Formats: sequence, structure tokens, C-alpha cells
Amino acid sequence: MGCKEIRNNLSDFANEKEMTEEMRAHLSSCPDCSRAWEYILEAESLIKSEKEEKISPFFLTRLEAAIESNHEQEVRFYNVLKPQLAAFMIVAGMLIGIVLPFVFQTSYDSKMKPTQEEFLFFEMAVEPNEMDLLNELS
Amino acid sequence: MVSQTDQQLVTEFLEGNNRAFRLLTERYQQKVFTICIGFTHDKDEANDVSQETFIEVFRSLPKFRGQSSFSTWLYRIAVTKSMKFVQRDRFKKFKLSLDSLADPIGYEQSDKGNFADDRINRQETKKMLKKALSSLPKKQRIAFVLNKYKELTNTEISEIMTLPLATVDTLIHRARKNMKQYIIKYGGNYGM
Repeated sequence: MGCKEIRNNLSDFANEKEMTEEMRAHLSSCPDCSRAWEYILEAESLIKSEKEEKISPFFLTRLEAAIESNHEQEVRFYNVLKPQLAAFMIVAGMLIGIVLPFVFQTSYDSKMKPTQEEFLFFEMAVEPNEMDLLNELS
Repeated sequence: MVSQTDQQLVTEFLEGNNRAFRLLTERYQQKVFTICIGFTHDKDEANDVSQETFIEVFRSLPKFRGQSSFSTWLYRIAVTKSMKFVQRDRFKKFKLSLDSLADPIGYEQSDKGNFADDRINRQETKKMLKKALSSLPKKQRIAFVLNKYKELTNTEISEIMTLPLATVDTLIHRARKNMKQYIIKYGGNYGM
């Protein structure tokens, strides 16, 4: 068995039970593989110790305090926001009420211009003979 | 009261009984903490992330539809919160990598046996483990932590990650292989 094969066969995250006699013999004679094995054991030991860590005994108390504090903050936030939101809605409503008629008025002017009617009642645009008749009447 | 199922406690909490939430927390706080420490590798940070998890549970429990078991839902939140923490922590890691670039000799010279203090050695191993885990793709990392730290079955992990069982098997296998390769390759640089 070569080093590469041994390293491939080093159990994924140490389990010495899976190690064959041949592997043990190689590890005792090869310093590089032996070191690699030590790194794996070291990492495994760290994971084991992390798994054994216990949560803070004050966790529950801290959690309840945090939930209470969060709840108060939320309530405070909404209470502060509520009148401001209402004021904003009123002002926005008023502005829309003022601006909206102008918008529709402008569009009405530009699209529905009564050019023909204006021409009919515009004195200066009347035919010359008609003007003469008018003069005679006056 | 203690023998009540999770679902019964959830129902009670939704009916306004805060004591039910307390019982659920007591039941799962250590399990959530173990998942969180698998991502953070720091006791204080794991405590903070666990707290964030339970605050989120408290807020979101009214939206819990019971499509999966409470524990699966809870672990999913814990994983999400932990991953978010890891992302927030990226800046610190970046700084750490800059430090190691600024002082590469310190890492190269730290052969085994140079550290008299085991605690320092432990810190270096922790640093290495953290780097090895962060070198894994996101899904492999989650699957590895749930499998290695929480010792959940692959079926449970597939439920938490909402992935097919075969995918989870592959993820765990690849994660273990990648971790091993990283540790063998870079172990010496961390004074192990």
C-alpha cells in the first residue's frame, strides 16, 4: 500500500476500528502519513469537544428578556409610527385631491379643443361679403 | 406537562400559553446550540445564534403550518440563522486571512511541538477546522454539520434541507472527503 492509497483509506474522520493492520504498519513507518493521521485525530477531537459544550445556564432567562425587549420595541415602533402614518395619509390624500383635477383638465384641453366653434364665433374670421352685410345692417 | 408532544405544546402556545414555549425551548435549546456551535466554533457566538433562532421561532410560530415536524422546522431555522451569522462573520474571516498573509512565516514555522501551550494549539486547530468548513460548498457544509455535530440521520437531514435522500448521502460523502483532504493538506500550516 502506497501513501496515496493509505491517505484515501484513512477513515473519514477518524474511526480507528476501520483501520487495517497494514495501514497501522504503514502509519508507524511513514512520518508524512502519520502526521496526516494526527491532523485528522486532532480535528476529530476538537469536534468532539465542541459537541460536548453546554449551552449557557442563563440562556432561557436571557431569551425571555430578549423576547420581552423585542416585543416592547415593536410596540413602541408601531405606537410612534401610527400618528405619523395617519398624518402622512391625510396629506397625501389632500395632495392627490388637488393635483388630480389639474391632470384631467390638462388632458381634456389638449384633446378636445373646439377649433371649429371658436372659428364660427370669431368675428374677424368671417367672410368679407358677410362683413359688408353686417356693416350695412349697422 | 413534560410528556406533552411538540405539537401539543405548539398548540398551547398559539392559544396564548407562554409556558408552552418555555417548555419547547428547554427541550430543544441544547440541540440547537450544538448545531450553532458546528457553524460558529465559538461558545458565545453559538449562544447568540441560538437566541436569535428561538426569537425567530417565537415570532414565526403562528405561521408554522405543521407540514414538517416541529424539530425539523426548528433545525431549519437554526441552520438559516447560523449560515447568516457565518456570512456576517465573513468580514472577520477576511481580516483573519489578511493577518495570515501578513505573517505567513508564523504559520510556516509552527511545526508540531513548537507550541508548549496546548490552548494555543487548540486555537490553531479550531482556526484550521473553521477554514476547512468554510472551504466547503454551502450545502456540503450544512449536511456535514448536521451529520457530524447533531448526529442526525440522513433522512432527517434530507427533510431539513428539503433535498432527496440520495443527494444528502452524496453531500455528506463529499464533505467528509473534502474535509479530510483539506486537513491533510493544510494541517501543518496551523501548527498542528
